[in-house]
This record gives sequence, structure tokens and C-alpha cells, in this order.
Amino acid sequence: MAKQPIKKSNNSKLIIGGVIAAIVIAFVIAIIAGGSNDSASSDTTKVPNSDGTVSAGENQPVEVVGDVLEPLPESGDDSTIGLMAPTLNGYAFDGSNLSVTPGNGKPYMVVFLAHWCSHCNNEVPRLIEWKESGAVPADLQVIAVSTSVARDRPNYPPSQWVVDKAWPWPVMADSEAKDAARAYGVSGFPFFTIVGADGKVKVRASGELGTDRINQIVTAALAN
Amino acid sequence: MMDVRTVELFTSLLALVALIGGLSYAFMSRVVSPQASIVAEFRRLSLWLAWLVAAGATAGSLYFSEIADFVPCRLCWFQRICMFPLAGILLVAAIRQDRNVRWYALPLLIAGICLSSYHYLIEWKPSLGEGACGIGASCTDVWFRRMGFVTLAFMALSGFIAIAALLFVQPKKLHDESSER
Repeated sequence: MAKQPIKKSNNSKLIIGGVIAAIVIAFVIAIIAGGSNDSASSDTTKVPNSDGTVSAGENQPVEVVGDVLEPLPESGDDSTIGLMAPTLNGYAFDGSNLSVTPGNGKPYMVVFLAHWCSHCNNEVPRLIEWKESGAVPADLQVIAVSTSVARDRPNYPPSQWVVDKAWPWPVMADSEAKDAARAYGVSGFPFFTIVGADGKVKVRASGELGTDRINQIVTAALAN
Repeated sequence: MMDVRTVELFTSLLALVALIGGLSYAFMSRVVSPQASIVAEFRRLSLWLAWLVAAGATAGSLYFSEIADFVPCRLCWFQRICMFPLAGILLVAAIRQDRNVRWYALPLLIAGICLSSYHYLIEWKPSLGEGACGIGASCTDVWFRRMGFVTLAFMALSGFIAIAALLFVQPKKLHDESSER
């Protein structure tokens, strides 16, 4: 009769001890193996030097000229179709000048990408495939804008991400305040804006499109 | 203070401990040795253990959003709605040793398991989700993937499964007796 409570007590101690031991072991493993791989580099948007150049960085200053476009609505008509697109004067990751200038006689497509976005990571190979298939109209300029940079999210830094992905077109680095993305009314990633030779917005779309849909919207946009 | 990556690994390991512990308890209770005294003792402590899992999941979730600044996505919020109340409900149940709490926890556990399973699925296959990443937090955006597979959604799923096992699995003998009654 007297043995039962002792056994019960021992089992309780065993279970509680086991739980505590598991927590302590997990803690020790985390301390030993956890580590930190935070990058020491800064994402802070730089101010251009007096000669107009900036140093390399994941975020670069962007000057927006013209009216900012409203964000793309989730459903219904896009009220920005037919409006003049804003000009973006910015820089590539390496600090070289890069601009998106509407109305210079050539249509263009701006693709806003976020390095951490899984849908962007799915879409980039399709866009590359689209280029390699020869389906890109000869007069269509394509430019990516790397935006929403976050050092604690996957695929950081974006400058390396676009290299790893073998992105074939120029890439503008958006500012930390996402000036370029805001100017084009980006509502999600990836985000596409096709601007005609006249500088007016023809199509905006968000999300994974795939090559067939890209062909479709580009053809429709350039026909207008 | 522990850095975020260390906490990620620590909480990932705790989630695995909870999942393996919960499933082991279920397996032992129903298959291997339902009459073993350790199983009976485990059952006696199961409400406290379930509370420990819920409290740990709640604390971890708050750490990642409030200290590590991981912005919760929409599905994360829904899972929080399911997990956070369990920390309070199971504490009261453990103090009162009220096993009927499982029926109050059941809707939260079912919703939590469904949501976290779906969240974990779209983390691996984003095309099953909405098709675009949001400007803010996106449900297909994986903040970290420890040991190659442990994400925040996986941790939530582990927590819900462990709590469900601790609350609902009864040793076979006890189950048979209660069925007969």
C-alpha cells in the first residue's frame, strides 16, 4: 500500500524532470548552434554626392517626377489607365544612374520585385524564360525595381539575389521609403506596369502571371 | 540577451519536443503500454503540459512579433486567435483539473490545426495561395526555416497537435471504461 504513492511521485518527478531537461537541452543547443548571421552592412538610403553619384547599396535614392499613381485596386477598373506615368530617376545597386522615363518614344515594362517574396521568386524564372523564348517585343524596354528590402528576410541582399537568379534586365534599387513603388501604386509583389510609347499607363497587374499571360498583356498594351 | 536566431532555434526545438512528446504520449497510451504507471502519471499531468505548450507558443509568438519585429501575416493572426485563448483556458482547467476543458478547446484546436496546416502548405507551395505577396506581411513569406523544415506555421501546427493529443488521448483501458459507461 505504501509503495504506490512513492511510485506515483517518482513518475511525476520523471515527467517533470524530463520536460525541464528537454527545455534546458533545447536552450543549450540553441545557444551553441543558434548564432547570428546579421549582416553588418547598412540598408540606409544614401544622399547623392555633389557630383550626383552614390555609393553601392541595397537601397538608393529615387527622385519621382510627375503625379504619383493610385494603388492598384483589388478589383474593378484601374483608374490610372491612360494617365501619364511618373518619371523615376534613381540608381542601380552599384550606384550607376538609372532612370525610367515615360514618353521618350519607347514603351517599357517596370517589374517591381521583392527579394523575399516567394511569388517573385517563382515569377523571375518565367520572365527569363519569356525573354529567352524571343517573345519580348523588340522595342519594349524592361526594367526591374528592387523594393521593400529587408535584411532579416530571405534572399538578402537583393543585389546578390538578382545575380543568383540571372536576371537579364537592368535593376533600379528603390529607396528605403519605397518611393518608386509608391509612385507606381504598387499593391503587391510582383507588380507589373506597362507604359506605352506615349508615356501613358496601359496595364498594371499584380501577382504571378506566367509567360502566356505576360504575352497577352504586353500584346494588348502595345496594341493600344 | 539571446539574439533572434538563437531564439528561432530554441523555439523550433521546443516545438519538436512538444510534437514528439504529444505523439509519443498518444502512441504509448493507445498502443504500446496503456497500463504503464508512467502513462497514467502523464495523463494526470496532461492538463498542465497542455497549458505549458499553449503558454510557450503564446510567449514565442509574442516574442517574434514584439521583439524580433516579425510582422504577423493574416494567417498568423488567425492562428494566434486560436492559440492565445488556450493559454488562459488551459491554465484554469489545469488548476481545477477540469478535463471537460477539451470540449471548449476543441473548436480552437480544429481551426488551429486546419489553418496552420494550410499555412505550412502554402509556405512550401506559394502558388496554392493568393498569387501575390502583400506590401506588408505575406502568408507565403517564410521568416525562417530551421533544420530545413521548422517554420512559424510548423511550430503552431506542432503546438496544436501536441495540445490535442494531451487533451483527447486517453489510455486504452480508461477509454474502454469510459465507453462502457
